[in-house]
Amino acid sequence: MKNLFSLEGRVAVVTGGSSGIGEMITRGLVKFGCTRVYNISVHDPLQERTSVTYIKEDLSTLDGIDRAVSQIEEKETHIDILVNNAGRSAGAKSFTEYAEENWETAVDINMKTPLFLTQRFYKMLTKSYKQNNRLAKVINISSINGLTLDQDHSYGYHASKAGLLHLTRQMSIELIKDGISVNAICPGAFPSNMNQYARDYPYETAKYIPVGRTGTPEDIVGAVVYLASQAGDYVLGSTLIVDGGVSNTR
Amino acid sequence: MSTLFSLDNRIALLTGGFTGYGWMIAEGLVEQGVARVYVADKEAFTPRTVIDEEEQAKLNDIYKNIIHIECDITTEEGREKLFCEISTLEPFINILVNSSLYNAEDWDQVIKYNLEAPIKLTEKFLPLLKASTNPDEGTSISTEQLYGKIINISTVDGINPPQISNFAFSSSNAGINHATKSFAVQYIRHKIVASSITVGLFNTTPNEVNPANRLQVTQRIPAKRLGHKDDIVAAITYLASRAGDYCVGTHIVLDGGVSEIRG
Repeated sequence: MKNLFSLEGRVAVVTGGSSGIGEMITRGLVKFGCTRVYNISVHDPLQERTSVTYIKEDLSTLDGIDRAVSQIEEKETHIDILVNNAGRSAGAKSFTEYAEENWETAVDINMKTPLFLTQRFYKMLTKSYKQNNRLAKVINISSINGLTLDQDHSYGYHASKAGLLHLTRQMSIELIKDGISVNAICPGAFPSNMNQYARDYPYETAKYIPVGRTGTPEDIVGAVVYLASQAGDYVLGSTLIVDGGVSNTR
Repeated sequence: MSTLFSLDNRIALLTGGFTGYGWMIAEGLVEQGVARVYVADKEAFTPRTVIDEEEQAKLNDIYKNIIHIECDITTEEGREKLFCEISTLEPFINILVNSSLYNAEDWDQVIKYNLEAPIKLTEKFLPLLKASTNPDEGTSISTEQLYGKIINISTVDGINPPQISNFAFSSSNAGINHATKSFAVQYIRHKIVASSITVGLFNTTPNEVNPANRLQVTQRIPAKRLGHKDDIVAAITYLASRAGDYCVGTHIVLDGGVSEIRG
């Protein structure tokens, strides 16, 4: 049987992979055959894993991005997969109290970082196609809050996650010319430090999800592996919603 | 995690016939592990032939698991006939792929074929899909699948209408995507997940298209190529397997980026 979903021999980078969805993705990439996975995060990993190299950097600044990229450039000639997962909600406040700081924190890490990190990795990504004749894959992890609104007043988070989807479209049209395919995933409620409610109250959270449960590692890994492998080669600039049906309900 | 994308031992029903995307989906599902694929169509099909003998032997094996059922799914009688025949052969079906796509001037005909038929057929097969999530004890096929899967296929005309008069075709394609969301929300209580795939420009004939035409067509596609069998088989496999269980009402656009650009 043809294995359309193999990631054998790939070199991958995941941002924000020390915990939550990023950690699930990191483990999945190793499981599906990636030779080496780099995790760039401002936090220490909850648990260090073999086959994963941990780089501690703050990616919300261009200096931090450049330092992280330099460390990977020293070890690799190319990258096959880049998962821009690092994100922050940066606080929810009423409309009149919402501050510039909240806005900038969210917009920087959720939208600026994926753009400039991909830009800094651009040459290494183009080599995936040049060396191995396969598309490099950039996967931007957005959120269902980039599609529909929840009750939270986190203006910067919602707007930046929506912005990331449009950024994904534009990057995809430009970068495909050089053999790089860019797509986005909108996860729903997955237990994590960022979604503490889903982590601490899975049963209460599940009441609002049509499928009746919160997301699992298999759910997010399935989506990432689909897009990252040959299987997803004809998906371009797309938004893949993995939310158990939440965004389809009123 | 190692069986995340497995379709081993599943039973699938494919509507819309064997031409177009049908042959790719039917062959691909068997290649990915599906035990039997039933293809509902008015016309019988001829198994594909290739020059390479080894390849032909593999194809012959695949076609042993693809079963044609003659029926017209645009009529209630045809849908009933299909349901009765499959019910006598299988205790359940795990995967229903609605890929009926028909393009013509006549509004009523197109809506009947592209929208009414898949919706009414899906409703009719609800009992067999429900049965897949809780197979009766003693059936010969065991399945790890927790959810029945409905996958509706449409084209990019349902996202961006082309600059030609095809109101019925575009509207019916948009309609089936929206119907998918309704099915998703309504059927999830039965442990049935509905999702959709919108396809762009594919090479649907097993043989090469005219190279000059191909160049002209592919220039308009950001990916600079037509879609092929692996692309659609992979998308269906992702949604139909455990990997796609959380994709309730999810819509995959499989078009090499063509719907993202204007003009």
